[in-house]
Amino acid sequence: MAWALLLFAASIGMAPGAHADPAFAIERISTELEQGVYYVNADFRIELNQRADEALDNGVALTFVIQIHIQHHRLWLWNSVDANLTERYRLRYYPLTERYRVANLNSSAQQSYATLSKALSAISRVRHLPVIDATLLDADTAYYVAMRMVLDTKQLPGPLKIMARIVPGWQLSSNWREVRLKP
Amino acid sequence: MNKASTVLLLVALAIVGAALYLLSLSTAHSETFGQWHLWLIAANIVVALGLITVIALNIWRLVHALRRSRTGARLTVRLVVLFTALAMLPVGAVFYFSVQFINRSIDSWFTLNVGSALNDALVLSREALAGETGPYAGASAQAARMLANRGPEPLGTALNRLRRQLGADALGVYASDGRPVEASMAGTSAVPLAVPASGMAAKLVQHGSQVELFSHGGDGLYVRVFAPMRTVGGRYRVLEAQYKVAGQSSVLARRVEAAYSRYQELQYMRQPLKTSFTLTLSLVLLLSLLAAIWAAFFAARRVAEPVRELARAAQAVGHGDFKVRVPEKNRDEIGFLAQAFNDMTEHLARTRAAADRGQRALEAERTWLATVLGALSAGVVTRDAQGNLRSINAAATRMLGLEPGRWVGRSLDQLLQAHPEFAALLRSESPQSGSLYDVRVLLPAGDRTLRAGYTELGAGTSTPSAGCVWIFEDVTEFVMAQRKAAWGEVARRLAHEIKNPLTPIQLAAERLRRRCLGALKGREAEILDRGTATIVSQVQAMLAMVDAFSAYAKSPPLAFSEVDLSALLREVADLYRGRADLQLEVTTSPRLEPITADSARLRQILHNLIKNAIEAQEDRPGPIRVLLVAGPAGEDPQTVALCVQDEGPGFAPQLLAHAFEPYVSGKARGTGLGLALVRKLAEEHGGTVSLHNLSRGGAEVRVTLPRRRPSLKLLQGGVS
Repeated sequence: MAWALLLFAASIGMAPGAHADPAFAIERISTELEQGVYYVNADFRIELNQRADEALDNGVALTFVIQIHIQHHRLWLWNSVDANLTERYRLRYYPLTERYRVANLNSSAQQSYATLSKALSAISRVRHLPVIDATLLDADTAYYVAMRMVLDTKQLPGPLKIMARIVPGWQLSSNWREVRLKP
Repeated sequence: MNKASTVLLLVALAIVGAALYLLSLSTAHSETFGQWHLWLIAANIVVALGLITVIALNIWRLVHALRRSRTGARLTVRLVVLFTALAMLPVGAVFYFSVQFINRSIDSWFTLNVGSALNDALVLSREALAGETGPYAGASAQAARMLANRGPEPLGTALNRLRRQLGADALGVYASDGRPVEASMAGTSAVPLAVPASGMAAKLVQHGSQVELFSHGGDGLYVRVFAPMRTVGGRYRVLEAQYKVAGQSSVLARRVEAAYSRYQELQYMRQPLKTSFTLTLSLVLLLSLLAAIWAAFFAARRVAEPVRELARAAQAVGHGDFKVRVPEKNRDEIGFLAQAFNDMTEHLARTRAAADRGQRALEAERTWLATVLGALSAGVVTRDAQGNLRSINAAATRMLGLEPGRWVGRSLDQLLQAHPEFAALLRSESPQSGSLYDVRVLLPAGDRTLRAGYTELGAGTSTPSAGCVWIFEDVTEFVMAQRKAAWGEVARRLAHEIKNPLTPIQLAAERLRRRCLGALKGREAEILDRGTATIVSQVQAMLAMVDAFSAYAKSPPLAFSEVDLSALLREVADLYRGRADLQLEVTTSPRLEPITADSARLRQILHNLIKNAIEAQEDRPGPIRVLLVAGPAGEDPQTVALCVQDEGPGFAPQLLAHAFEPYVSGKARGTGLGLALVRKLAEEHGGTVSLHNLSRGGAEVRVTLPRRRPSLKLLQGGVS
């Protein structure tokens, strides 16, 4: 019974992001305005730990989520999120061809890579991603784009999902980082 | 346990069941219920916590009840322990074997043979595919050379031609820095070309073509060939050719890969799977146990409740409360017991009520009897069969001068030992039960005549005597009144009979003296003179006596008026002041109001009493005291007491009882009518006369008179 309680506490306490592991990091974000649409470019650093590596090698697909918030600051209040979008990638190892395949779940575009580092670098590079139409934004307000990368443990297979809640080392995410949204 | 809690229990059990069922589903079909799994576990844990709280509350209440040793608490504990143990054993056994079974069956999936066989199959597939990809590399290198040496033909046209010739999906030419130069695709749905890394061209020139096998989408396997291409200008370029691998082998290889991946994943997840199953099972166990314990509490209370009610009711009945009833809820044996108990208490209550009614009736009877006896002016004394006194009523106590309540319950013999004078009164050997007899008894109030009746209780039947009753009445006054009336009659007749001859005797003697005294001489004359003188004086004395008799016998009607008793007393006392041999001390109460009385009779009383005192004193020198007391101590405040005290020898004991009767006197000279007359006069006023001997010597006569005129009835009684 005691361990059941412990488990319960763990499942509540260890929500994603509660323990930010420095496995992911944002190295650079930049924005650009092109034909009335804001685009964002970003570079992440991804270092999978042994646990994730092992899962990948055993045929478990990993889902990476890049969360993007367009927000503005408010006095005395938390930030107001005006728009948010997510970019999701699934990384999987194919033993027959011995290649890693990255699939963008939003666009269903996919590409395979001979090495894991190449696959990860494909995920970590965000290029020319449209985020918001400039007409939707108030011209007088200073907007920021905030980003982070999270490993989505909810997409893990059933039993592993429970373990990911209990066992430390599965909560992989970067910290939020924001830059001023400017042309 | 009411209906609401039963419903609550059923609802809770239903929730637990549903949660467990969903949990089992989510464990089995992890894809379908995967996202709900954690929530279900959390929900089950919440339910478990709720149950634990409820059970803890129940345990706390039970412990509390045990500490206060409430009825039924021990029974509840035993039932709960029993039910819990009964539930725990099978559930625990099932749990243990289930966990064992799951672990073993999961382990059995991953036998060494399957794993290595799949691995071998994969390697085999890879080899087979490698054999198929070889021609693609050669053909691509050939195509690259042909492109380089194509002559004036535009690159795009050449690419299209070559792609069709090669049967490739796509062909692309890239500059050495990776920039695309030209491409040809089989269609819009063709797999996009991969951009070669910069510097790849040089590497390809050195090492030859590079072949890559890759899968794309759900269906196909593709071969991608990077071949070096040297342009006419001497620049290096890269030709990229992509072919879809056709044929059965590609499909089979993909299947082998899928199976291998699945197996690999499962093997990797073996421990999490076991943990997940065990967790689910543990939750099932925990919830089942908790529900069982709660149900045990529920059931135990249901069983113990009627027993507790019965015990409580039995205690109440034990303490004399027959009104208590037990609810007859169930139709089982306990319900029957409750019904029997209720019948019993009802019966007891009825019996008790009847007994109470009887008791009360008896009580009322006794009280009524006691009241009647107390109100009787006659004395009533009862004795039981054992010779003990059972009751002495108030009149008897007063008459006999006994201490109230002292003798009841003690034996008659004891009373007679202490008071031998009552032996004549309380005798048991009456010849005839119920007959009356007169007894003279020396009571504290004097020598009294009592008329008594004796009744044997239960006599006349075969049963032995149940005791006896004496009833007696003080008939002294009655007897005396009778005697007085007789005496009055005698006195009247005597006066009449004697007075008639006396006057002729006196007249004859006076005539004899007048006529014959002159004719005689000497000694005869002297004899005659003395003789007639004696006759006349004696006749006069006799006349005075006769007058006194007639005064006693008949008296004029009373004339009541307001009399100042002090003034009257002083007036009478003044008549005796002149005498040298007499000392008269008069003491009057200062706050004495006038009384209603006949002043002439009061004078007569005073004269009589003072004369009596003087006669009693004879030649003793002591003073005669006359006291007037208003509302004397111990008596009615509406009375006045007149006391005359002398220092004579006092009353002889035998005289005390008869002093008021005519012709009873303690003196050599005296008619014996003095005190009798005083008493008669006093009674005419509604007063009383009493005699005492003083402790310092001498006697006291006390006349007590009411201040106001007595009622006519009493007056007539006094006059009789």
